[in-house]
Amino acid sequence: MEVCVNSTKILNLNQNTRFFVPRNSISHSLKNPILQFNSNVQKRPLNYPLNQRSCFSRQIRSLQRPISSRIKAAPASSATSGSETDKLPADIMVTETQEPNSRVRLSVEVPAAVGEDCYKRVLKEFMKQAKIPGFRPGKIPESILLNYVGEESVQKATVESILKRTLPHAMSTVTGRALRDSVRIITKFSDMEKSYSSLSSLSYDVIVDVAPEVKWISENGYKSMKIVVEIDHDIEAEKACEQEIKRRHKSLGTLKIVTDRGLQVGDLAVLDISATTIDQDESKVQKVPAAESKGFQFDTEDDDKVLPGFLDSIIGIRQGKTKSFPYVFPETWQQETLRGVEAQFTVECKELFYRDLPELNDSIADKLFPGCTDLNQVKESLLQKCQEMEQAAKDQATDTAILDQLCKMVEIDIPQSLFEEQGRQLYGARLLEIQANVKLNEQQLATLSSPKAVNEFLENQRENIINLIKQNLAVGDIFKRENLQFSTEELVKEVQNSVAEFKRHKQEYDEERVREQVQDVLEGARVLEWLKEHADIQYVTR
Amino acid sequence: MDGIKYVVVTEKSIRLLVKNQYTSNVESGSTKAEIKHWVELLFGVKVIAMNSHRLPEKGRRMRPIMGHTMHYRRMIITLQSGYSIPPLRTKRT
Repeated sequence: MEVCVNSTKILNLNQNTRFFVPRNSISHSLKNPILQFNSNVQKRPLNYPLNQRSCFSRQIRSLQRPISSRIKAAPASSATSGSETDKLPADIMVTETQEPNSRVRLSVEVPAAVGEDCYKRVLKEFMKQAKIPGFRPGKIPESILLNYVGEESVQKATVESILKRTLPHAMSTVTGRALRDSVRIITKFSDMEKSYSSLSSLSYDVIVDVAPEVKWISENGYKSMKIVVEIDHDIEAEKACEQEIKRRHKSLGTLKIVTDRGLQVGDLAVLDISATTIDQDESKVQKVPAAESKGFQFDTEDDDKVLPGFLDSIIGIRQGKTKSFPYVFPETWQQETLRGVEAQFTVECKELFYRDLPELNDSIADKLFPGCTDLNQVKESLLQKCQEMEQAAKDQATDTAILDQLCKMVEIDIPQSLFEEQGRQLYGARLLEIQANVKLNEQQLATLSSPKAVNEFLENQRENIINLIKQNLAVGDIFKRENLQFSTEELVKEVQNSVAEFKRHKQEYDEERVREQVQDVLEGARVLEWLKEHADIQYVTR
Repeated sequence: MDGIKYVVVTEKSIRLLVKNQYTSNVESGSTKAEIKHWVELLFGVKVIAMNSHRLPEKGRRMRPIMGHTMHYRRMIITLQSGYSIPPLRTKRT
């Protein structure tokens, strides 16, 4: 019948493009980062650029804010907007279950009354926004609106609205403990939709990482630590000073070509080196790429930087001559694959120089160290410099040793989100470092900052990252336990310095973040100072 | 029967349903008597009044001549109380 046939046209009007249905708002709000469903968990992109790097301990502190404030900060569709103060028509049931890795599972059961209320709100919002000919906005009957918008869309929006309204209430049980951006709704959205459509009530599970608890293996063990700091003999001030004088003296000399003799100790040679493994079967002979070098500038006085015994093998070689000799790599050689390998070295001496050094006396003092008039002054000035460097290196080694020790003294169940955050920051810092040294093009940068590269880094550096987190958490814990403090003046001064630095490099900055970072740094420094005072530190030269 | 184009669903038409008045668009040439005849015949109802009008044209200037006459009419069919026309569409579930 014609009437019926025509009437179906009206039914399908929700497919009519003439009508404006606020679908955008729905899809937008479904992309809410907080509402990441297990089936489609998006990996966060690398935090880059990292001029706003943050320390994770700050991350934890910032989470002391009520979590709702972060939820409010997330983009919310107007249809589903809600806040913690938004009262629910009925109480929701939240069951908390502890899980490994400082994780908490919250099972939330939403009663039908809440679902009904959310449904009404969603309809009201759709009603305001839908533009249907023949109806004023807000005056559309429910059945007609459902036909236009589509029941499925309304259902989706309702489920989303329920989540938005109930999540802050559910999260209130972990307020102050939850880590930022660690909230994951693990129930699939499609499952929630099904359960809502059949039962009109909803239940879902949320997983949230909480701030890990620092467990000390021996309580108060950090108060009397015994630390042995190994110091490289190279950093000893007097030795370093002598080497520096020697180096500066050498740099004042001129290089002259040797013509009448072979290589001697003290000369500088330009060598082409190649090496092959020795094997009776010629087909198995292989090149040793690590030992090959062309135009290698060999200072015979620095023979400790090359293979032991290498210099002895080429002593006497003349310019333009080639020498071939067998060599067995020592068992202590740094490259494991080459240890004990028998190789045939071929060395061609391209050029040979000797140094014509000026006499080491007061006349060259000013050249050795500007402003000095005699050699004693040079020695004193350089010694002072080297002593400063030695002290700095010693302090650094002590700090590292203390932190390593701290790391062994605590047991922390590190949550995954914290691990990833810290790992990403580390990776970002490395990338910045690389970019500062080598100009990377866009493609290289894209490859390096791809999720795959980041994940590989996280996997390879797992141990380091975990140690770093442990150290930071332990330091933070000691700061709290011992009621340590730093002066406000210090903080203000440091913040001003940092801000000045940012301004000098014309970088954007957030003063609050800078303040937090400075606070962290000062906290760390204060704790290390305290630990040094209370620890028994022994220095051993290696 | 070909005269009736489709049922009209607007705020007003829904308001009129309460008063047992049904609104539909009909072909331009159809008369009230024809439509009344077909409705009474097909739905087995008693029609007590027929009102019809053409929708006002939209004020859009497309050509040198402004506006045009609508090529259909809208009819409001009033049934005698006690009679009704069942919904022509089934509700989607």
